[in-house]
Amino acid sequence: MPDHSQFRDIIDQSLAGAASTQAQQTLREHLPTCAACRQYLDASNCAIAGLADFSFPISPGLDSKVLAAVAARAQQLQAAHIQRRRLWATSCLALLLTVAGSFAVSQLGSLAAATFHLQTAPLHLGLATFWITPSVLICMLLLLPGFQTVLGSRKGLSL
Amino acid sequence: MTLAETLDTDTQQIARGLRHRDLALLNSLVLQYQYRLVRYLIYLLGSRDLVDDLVQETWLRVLERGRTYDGQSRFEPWLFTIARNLAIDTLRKRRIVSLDTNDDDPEHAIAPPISQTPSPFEQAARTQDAHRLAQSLATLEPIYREALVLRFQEDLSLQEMANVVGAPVSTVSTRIYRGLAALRAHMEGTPHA
Repeated sequence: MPDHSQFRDIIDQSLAGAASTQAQQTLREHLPTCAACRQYLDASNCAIAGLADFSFPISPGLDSKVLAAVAARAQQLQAAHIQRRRLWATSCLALLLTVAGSFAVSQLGSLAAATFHLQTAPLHLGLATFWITPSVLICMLLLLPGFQTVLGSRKGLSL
Repeated sequence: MTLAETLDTDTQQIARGLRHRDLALLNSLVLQYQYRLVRYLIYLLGSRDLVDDLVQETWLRVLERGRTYDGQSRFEPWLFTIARNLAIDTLRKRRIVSLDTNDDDPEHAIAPPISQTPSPFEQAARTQDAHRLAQSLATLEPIYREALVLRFQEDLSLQEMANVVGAPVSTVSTRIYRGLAALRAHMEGTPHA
């Protein structure tokens, strides 16, 4: 007496793509001899075939709405990308100018201190106060709008 | 060139295009996969209410996160994973239901929608058999509907399905068996045309 439940399990596994080759072979040998299992398989196949008999209409205008939204977001992302690149370029340039300017002024200060017999430490302190610190602050002020733009675009992305 | 090589080339082209945010490629993907995405979401949600919004959000997410698609596997499972995550997030935010139910825990099963209007399945049925199936699909839990559409309509492998739903292959298999059993019972329980 064949165990129908065992073969039905194999049919389920086979349809799901989970049956082994050996199990499928066993099933192939069993099916011609068992009307009940054939009926089970037919019912399963009928249900699966029925799933293809649905046609879900796409809402009118959905495609164009999606394409327009995608294009707008792509533009937004591109603008943010350009802004990021500008930010990096500006940052590098600002840093370079600050370092080079500070170095040049420091050298000039040392030269002036030697020429006019001034103390070097107060002179460098003065340079740091009136040249380097303002330069860094100005750099940061210049970079702030860029940062705000990038942060704004990132917030827009986190859906 | 073998079929596998052609598929590799296709998926790699998609991955390259998404990496560069190629709008032309994205437009063609939208047109190519729109119906399947809509169908998947209808099966997942059992309703059309949120589908259009989720479809749009899914494609925007594809544009933004396109760099994470590596082109090593098929595009569809990756697309459905995005859609699924967005659907779950949206439903959680709206406090409707949770799709992350445990098969063995009926307490957390998703309640079928109670509505007087025809379900999207009844509206979409083209044959008598489909009308019979529609009643069953409308009352079936989303996780089983999802398993059925991914396996029998999208032809995803068990491993691909497991990746999409974030569950083991054995769980995915069980969902297919149960979903199929429900449909079969409905087909057998009513007279055929």
